[in-house]
Amino acid sequence: MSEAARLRVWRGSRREAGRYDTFTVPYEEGMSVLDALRWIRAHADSSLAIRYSCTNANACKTCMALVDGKVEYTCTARLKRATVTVEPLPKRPVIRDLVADTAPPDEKLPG
Amino acid sequence: MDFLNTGPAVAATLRRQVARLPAIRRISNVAVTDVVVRDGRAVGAVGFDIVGGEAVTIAAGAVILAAGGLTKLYRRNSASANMAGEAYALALWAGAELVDMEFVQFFPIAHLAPRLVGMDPIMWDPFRYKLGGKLLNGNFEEFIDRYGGSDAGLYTAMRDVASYAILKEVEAGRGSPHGGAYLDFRHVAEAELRGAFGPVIDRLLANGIDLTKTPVEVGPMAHYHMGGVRVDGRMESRVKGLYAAGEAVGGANGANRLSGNAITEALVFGERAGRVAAAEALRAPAGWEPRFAAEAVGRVRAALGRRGTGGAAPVAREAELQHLMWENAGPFRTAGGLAAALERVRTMKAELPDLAISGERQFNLDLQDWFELRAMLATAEAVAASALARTESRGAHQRLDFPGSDEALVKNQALALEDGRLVTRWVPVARSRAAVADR
Repeated sequence: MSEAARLRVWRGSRREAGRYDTFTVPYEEGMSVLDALRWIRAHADSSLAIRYSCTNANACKTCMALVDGKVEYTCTARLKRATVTVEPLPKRPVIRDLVADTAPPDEKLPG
Repeated sequence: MDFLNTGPAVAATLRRQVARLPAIRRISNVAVTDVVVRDGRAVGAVGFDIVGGEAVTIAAGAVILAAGGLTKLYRRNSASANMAGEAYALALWAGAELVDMEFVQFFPIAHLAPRLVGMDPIMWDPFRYKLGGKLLNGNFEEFIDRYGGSDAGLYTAMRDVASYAILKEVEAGRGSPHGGAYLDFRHVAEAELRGAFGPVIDRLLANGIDLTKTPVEVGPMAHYHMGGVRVDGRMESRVKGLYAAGEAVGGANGANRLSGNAITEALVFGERAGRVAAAEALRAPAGWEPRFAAEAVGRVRAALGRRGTGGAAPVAREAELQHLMWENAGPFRTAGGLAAALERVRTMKAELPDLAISGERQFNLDLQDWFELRAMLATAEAVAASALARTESRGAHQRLDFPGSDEALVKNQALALEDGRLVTRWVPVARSRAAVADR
């Protein structure tokens, strides 16, 4: 696994005050963007906020983010050998990093 | 493999029904860390709001544990990343009993490589049933007959024989590159492949997998837990007002399980637990005072207060635990391996307070991992202790040092915490009327 991929990942908790962190991740043919994000949490920066549950089967539908400008499930979006940019979903409030607020209003805790 | 997407369709229907009932309120983004028990009765739960990073208390007339299984304890698993044994740990801490914790089902030919996304790794069984795939070692030789199984292009080897054979070939240096075996369909005509699994063949091609040209790599993965919370026919644990449903329930399958019954278990146990718990909640005395939750809330606040500390990340410890359980409490077990696992798990429990939690308030996954690891360790200890005490091989529990079944151990094992120590005991197997009539 000598090949590597680069991810530019949006970080922050306010749209207007974010930054991009770049991570280099070991690349294996066929791996998903979520594989790379989980690798980053396990090996480089565990403080990265991402949302996922099923990791593989595209069953839980919670891992959506903007991948190179397109809305994708990160578990099925393929990583490329080139640099991939990952950002939180547009048109939703950002909670932190790649996690946008997707909970229906009636499922939230009273404030 | 759920090619028809039965699970998601059932789940969507249930969600729609729940949304129609104004009395049911769903809360997102809360991780429950303890069930609150007062005078032997479950009166609520404590957790934290992942989004806002605050402790949360929930008062309840009854509590149902429906957090699924424990497959995340294992390095190789086929289920969601959130099945970390929390239901079992919450039950133990609340004073309930667990049962059959040694019986973790390993699926022998789960997908290992090439990387396959958007599909369930246990998809290959129906392919073998219908098309007769060949199981080959790293040297492309058939091998299952060396281990008492027979293959000859037909699915005849029992699951435990297939798992054993694959792992033994890997151990002997004859595994496939990713540490499993090859499953080969190159001898099957493309028309036959398409006739049996047309739409799936296309999805495989989209993953770069052409079964007419390349074999895939497969191997055993943790797939389902037969053990779980010991409940009665009303799904109630020995703690009044504490129920379980779905894979969290133990003892329904015995030592092994037939494929395809998890959804029915979820529906039947869920309906029953929900009905009984709702009636119980109406009868339950008004049982909540904030002081009952003080200890559990204190635990959450202590973890929140440790944000910004150094040390190893909980996610790294989870990976270590997954390796430990795979090697020592996985498909094949020995007294030495299980004792080593128990010792290391107990050390890791003692080291929980030293782990790092990053400083962020919102959506802090280190915090979530820390509580998840706390539950994983409690459940791992229960699995290893039960597996060590069962000195025989039976169903999904395979002891290399005790290869045969022992008639004297036709019993269930129950576990509970006594003064903070995990204690196992043997209980008679409860036989249903139908089973008795058959004998």
